[in-house]
Amino acid sequence: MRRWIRLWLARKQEDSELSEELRAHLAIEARQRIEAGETPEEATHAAKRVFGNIAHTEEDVREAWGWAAVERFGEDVRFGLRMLRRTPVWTAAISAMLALGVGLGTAIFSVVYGVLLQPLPYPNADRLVAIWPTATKNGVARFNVSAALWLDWRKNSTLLEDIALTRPIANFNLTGEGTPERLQGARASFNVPRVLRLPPLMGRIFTEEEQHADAKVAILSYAFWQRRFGGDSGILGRKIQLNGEPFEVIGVMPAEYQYPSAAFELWTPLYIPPDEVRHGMNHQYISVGRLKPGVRLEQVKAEFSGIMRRLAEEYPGNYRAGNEWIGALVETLAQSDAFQVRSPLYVLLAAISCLLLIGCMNLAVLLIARAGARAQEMAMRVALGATGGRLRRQMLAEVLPLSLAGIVGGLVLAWWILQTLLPYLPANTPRVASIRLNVPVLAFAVCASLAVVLLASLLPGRIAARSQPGRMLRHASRSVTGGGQARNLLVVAQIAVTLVLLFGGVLFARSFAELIRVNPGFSSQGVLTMHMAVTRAKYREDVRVADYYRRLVERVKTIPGVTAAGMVNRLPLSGIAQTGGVEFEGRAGSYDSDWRSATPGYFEAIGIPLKHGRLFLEFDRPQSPAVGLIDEHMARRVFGFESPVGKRFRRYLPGLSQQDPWAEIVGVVGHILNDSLERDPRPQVYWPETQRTQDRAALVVRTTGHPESYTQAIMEQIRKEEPDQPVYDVRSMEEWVDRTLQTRTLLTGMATLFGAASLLLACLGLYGVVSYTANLRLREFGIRMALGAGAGHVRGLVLRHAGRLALWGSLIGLTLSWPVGRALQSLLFGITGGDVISWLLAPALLISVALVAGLVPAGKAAKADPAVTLRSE
Amino acid sequence: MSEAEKLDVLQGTLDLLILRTLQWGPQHGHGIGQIIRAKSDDLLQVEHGSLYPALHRLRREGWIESEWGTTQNNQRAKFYRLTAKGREQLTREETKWKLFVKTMARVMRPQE
Repeated sequence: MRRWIRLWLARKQEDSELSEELRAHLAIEARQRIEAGETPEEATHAAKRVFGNIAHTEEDVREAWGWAAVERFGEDVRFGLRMLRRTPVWTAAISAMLALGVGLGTAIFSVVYGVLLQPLPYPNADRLVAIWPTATKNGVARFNVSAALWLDWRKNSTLLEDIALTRPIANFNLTGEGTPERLQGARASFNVPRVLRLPPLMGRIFTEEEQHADAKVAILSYAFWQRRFGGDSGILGRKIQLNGEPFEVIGVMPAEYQYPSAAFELWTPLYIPPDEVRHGMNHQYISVGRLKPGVRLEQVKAEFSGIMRRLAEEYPGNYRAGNEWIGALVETLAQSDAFQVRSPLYVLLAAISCLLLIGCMNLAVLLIARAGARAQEMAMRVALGATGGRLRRQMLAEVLPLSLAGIVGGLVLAWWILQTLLPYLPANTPRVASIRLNVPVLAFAVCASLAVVLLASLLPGRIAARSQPGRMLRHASRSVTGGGQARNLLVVAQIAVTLVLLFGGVLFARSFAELIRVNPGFSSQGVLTMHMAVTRAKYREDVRVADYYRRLVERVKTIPGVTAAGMVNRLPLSGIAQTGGVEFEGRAGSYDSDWRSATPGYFEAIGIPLKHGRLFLEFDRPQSPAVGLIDEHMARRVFGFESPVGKRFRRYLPGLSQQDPWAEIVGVVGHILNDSLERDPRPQVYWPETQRTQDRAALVVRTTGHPESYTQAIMEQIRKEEPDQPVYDVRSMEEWVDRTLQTRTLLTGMATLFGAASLLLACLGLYGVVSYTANLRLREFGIRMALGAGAGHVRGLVLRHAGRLALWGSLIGLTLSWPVGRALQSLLFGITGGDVISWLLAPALLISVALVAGLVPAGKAAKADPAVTLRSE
Repeated sequence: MSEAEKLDVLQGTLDLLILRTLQWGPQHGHGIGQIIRAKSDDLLQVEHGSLYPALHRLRREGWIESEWGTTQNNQRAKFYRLTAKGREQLTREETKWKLFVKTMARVMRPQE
C-alpha cells in the first residue's frame, strides 16, 4: 500500500516537472528566435507553433509513462459503477448469484484445504508414510499391522529411517481426583515422536527400555493437559490413576502433536508380550515411517512389495487371503489420514466447480443481453475510434465491481455455510479443527470471483468489439443484435453441465435410497447404547468381571420403561471390530468371522432374532459346559441344510499351545451387518461373556419411547453399582446407524443442493435467452399472426426454441455423463454408474423444467397484439 | 525541404541518439532535439511526444541524470548528463549499431 502511495506522489511530482520543463523549452525557443531577429510576439507565436499543443504533448508523454491506462481504467470502473447503480435489481441479482457461488465454492474449498491439502504439522511431513497390509482382490484395501510384521519391516527396510508402531485401541479409565472418565489413549512404541520429529513440550518421551519393561509412565496430549490439569507445569513426576494403577507423567506433547488423531489424549509405552510376536497374530496396530532423504515413495513401495513376497513364501499360511498374496500399501501419512473422505470431498469440489462454471456462463448470457441493449452506445464508441481492446477493457471495468461484491458476499456466506456444514462432516474426518477461512482459502475466494467475472466478460467484449457502427447507427434497435448464436451456445453449454450435475445428484440420491432400504439385521429403534471398560486392577478375575456385568444389567433392567438389556464386547456399526477365524470340530480349515462375547439379554435388547435352538442363559457359567452361537450365514456355509445345533466350534489359533475348549453350538441367530450397511464381509459367532470375558463392553438397552431420556437413570444405576466406572460414547443405536451414513448424507445432500441450484441457474439462463429472442421476434410474430397464424402457432415457435436448446444441452450432457458415472462408480451403492433410471430421470427432469421456463415467454408472445407490435416500429 | 524527405527516427535508435548527443556534455531537452536535427542536416525530427518519454526512460535506467540549471542566456532549464553506466551503454549500443549498419549495407548491396 505504502509503495502505491509513494508511486502516486512521485507521479504528481513528475507531472509538474514535465510541464515546467516544457515551459522552459518554450522560453528557450522563443529567445533563440528573438536573437535570430524576430519580434517578441512573432517569436512567441512561432515557438508555440513549433511546440504544438503543450497539453497534448503532456498527454502523450503521460500515456507513454503508463499512467493514462490506469487512470482510464479507473474512469471505466466509475462509469461501470454508475451503470450498475442505474439497474439496482439486476446488480443485486448478479451480486447475490456470484456471492452464492463463491460462498459455496469457498466453503467446500476450505474443507478440502483443511482436510486434504494443508501439510501435516510435522517437520518434512511429506516424508512421513503409513504402511498397511493390503488384500485388494478380497476387497480389503488396508488392514492393521501385526507386531511380527512390524519387527520384520523395521529390520529389513533400508529406505526408511525408522518405522514406529501404535496400538490405537487402549482402555484408560482415569480415576482419582475429579470425576472418573474414560480416556482415548494409545500405546505407542518409543520411537513414534522421533519418526514424527516433534519433541515433547515438557519432560521427555519414553525409552526403549521402558517400552520393553511395560513401565507405568504416561505422556499427555496438550489438550488433555490443559483440560484436566489446567496446564499445570508441575504435572511432571505426578502419578495419575489409570485402570486403577499409578502411572507417572513423564512428558507433555505440544499442541500440534496429534497422532494418530486429535482425539488421542495420552500415550503409554507399547508393551508387546513375546508370545504375541507371531506372524498372522493380532493385527491391531498402525504404523508410521519416515523416508530417508532422497528416497521416493515408489522405491519404498517396491521394497515393501519385495518384503511381503518373501514373507508370503516363508509363511504361506499367514500372508495369504483366498488365492492372493497379502501386499503392502505405502502411502503418505496425510493421504492415509483422510482416505475415507478424500473421494467424497473431491467429488464435492468438482461439483461446485461445475456450478461456478454454470454461474459464469449465466453471467455471460446476461452481460451479452445487457450489451445488446447498449448496442447503439457501443457502436457510437466504435465510430468515435474505440479499439477492440479498449471496448473489452471497458466491459471488464464495468463488471469488476461485481466481482468485489462476489468476494465480500461470498466470504460472509462461506463463513456461515462452514458453521452449518462442519457438524455434518463424517466423524472420521481428520483435522476438522483446522478448517477455517485462512489465507489460501481467501486467495481461492478472490481468484474464483475474479475468474468468473473475467471469463464472463470475455465474450460480450468480443461481440461488442465486432459491432459494425454503420449498420447499427443507421437502423434502430429493432434489428436482432449480435451475439444471438453465442447466447444460444452458452445456454446449451449450461444445460449440458447442469445435466451432468443432475445426473451425479440422482446417482447419489438413488444410492442413498438403496442404502436406507438395507436391513442391518437388528432393530435400532428405541435402543440406547453406552460403552465402558472394566477397571481390571479392581476386578482381576474373569469371573468377577462377568459377575459385575451381570449385576449392572440386572440393575438397568429394574428401570421402568426398559424392556431388555444386555452387553456385547463390540457394538454393531460402532467402527471397531474384533475378527478372526473359527474352526468346526471334524471339519478342515477355518472360517473368517466376527468374534463376539455377549450376555444373555443382548440379543433381545438389540433385536437379533433366534432362528434355531436357544440363546445364552444365566446358567451358562464359567464352570458349565462351553457353549456358543453362530449366525444363519455361518450355519448355511458350514453345515448346509444340516442342523448345526449340537456341533462344536472354537477360535482358530493354529500352532498355539494354549487352545480354547470346543464350544457346543446351542443356537443359530440372525445375521447382522457389523462393519457398515454397505459391506457384509463375514458371519458372526458368539460366546457367553461368562466363558470368554472381555474388558471392554457396550451396554445395550431397549426402551419404550425416546432412548436418550433414559441416560440419566441408567447412569445412576451404574454409579450405584460402581462409583468409579467411567462411561463413554453414550448414543442411541439410531445415531450409530446415522453415523455410518454420514459421508453419504453429506454427499447426497450437497450433490442434490448443487444439482437443484444449477437447474435453477440454467433455467434462468434459458428463460432469459428465450424471452429475449421472443421479444426481438415480436414483429415477425405480428406479421405471422396478421397473415393468419394462430396464438398456438406462435407459442409453439417460442416453445420449440426452448425445447431445442434443452434437447441439445441434454444430448451433450448425457454424453458427458457417461465418463462421470464411471468415475463415481466407487462411491455408489446398489446401483452402477450407468444406472438407466438415473439416465432417464436426469434429462426428463431437466427438459420438463426447461419447458416450464419456456412457457412464460411463449405465453407472452402469443398474447401480443399484432396491431400493437406492428405499429410500434 | 519537403515533408516527404524528412526521416522518421528508427524505432530504438532514439536512445542511442540521445546518449550520443550527451557525450559532448550536459544538455537540456530542447537542446538535444536541436542538436540531433542540426547534425542530421534537418533530416531527423525528434517529436516532443517521443523525446520526453525517452528521456524519462533513460533516467529510470540510470544511464542519464538530470539537474535544473541555467543556460548561457540565463534561462532555467533541466540539464541531462551521461552517467558512467550510460557511457557503457553508449559503447555497447554503438557497437551494435555499427554492426547493424554494416550488415544492412551488405545485404542491400546490389549484386555484381
